[in-house]
Amino acid sequence: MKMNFKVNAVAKVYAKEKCDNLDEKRLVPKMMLRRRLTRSAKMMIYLSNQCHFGDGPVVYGSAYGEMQATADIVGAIASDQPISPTAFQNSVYNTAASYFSLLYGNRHEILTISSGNDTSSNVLQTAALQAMSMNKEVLLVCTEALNIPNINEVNTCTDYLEAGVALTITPTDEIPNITIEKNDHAGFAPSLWDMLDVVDACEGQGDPVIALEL
Amino acid sequence: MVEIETLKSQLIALFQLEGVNAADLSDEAALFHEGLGLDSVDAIELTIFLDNEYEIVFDNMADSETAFVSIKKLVEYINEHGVL
Repeated sequence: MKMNFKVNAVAKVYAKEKCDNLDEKRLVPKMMLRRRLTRSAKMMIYLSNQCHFGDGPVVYGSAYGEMQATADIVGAIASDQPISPTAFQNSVYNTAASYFSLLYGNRHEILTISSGNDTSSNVLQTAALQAMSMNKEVLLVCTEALNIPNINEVNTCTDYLEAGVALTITPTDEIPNITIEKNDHAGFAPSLWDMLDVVDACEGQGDPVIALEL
Repeated sequence: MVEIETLKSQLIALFQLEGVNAADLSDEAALFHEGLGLDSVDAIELTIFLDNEYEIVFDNMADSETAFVSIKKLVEYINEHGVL
């Protein structure tokens, strides 16, 4: 079954190595919180700000999760060193979404999804269900932060080692005015492709309305 | 002997205290709550750092409570108990 959704805002950010201007000093003025943020958390906060969203339900996705924190833990184990509690805290999949909630005091429901190349497709579907069931605006965010030391020893297909995509949707009775086509987004992690399809189609459009599969 | 300015620089790097310079930190500055504003996760991070850097392992809570009072107390503890 398909339902219709108004796309209120879209945003994306990407870089071959590191996204330089995520505006974290302005967006996260408290240094004691900012110092702990992971790259994905910084991207998520930046993207949510671009979408003018700070309070409400969130569906967050990442296929690879917190790569740097995970690498730090694995490195510590391999060299028989104690594991950093900060790396441990930052290694879970919902790290980015949790820092977002801490920053804004957001107490709404957050769902985190990781399902390989289907991640952003499943984020879209889950967020559609959330928006329908709560009748609220929902923030969807997917990020991948793959820029860890030596990543190019195993990476052969992802040019943009940091990339994130976001949009906000609300249910509507209006007829869709945008058709979403599946495209290959060469250089981006495939886990982002389905949301990139939506963002690219809606970017610069007046009041985009799309149909999403529930 | 570890100089207090060296330790301040190490703490700034360890805790990623962005925008803070060693000269900004008072010798008497508390490590936790007011002062540097570190928290319980930082306490574990600091314990690991002291073990790795100075081979200091606390045998009891009282020792760590004494050492963690301020930057000055910590440098004194390192110079007394650490492998330098």
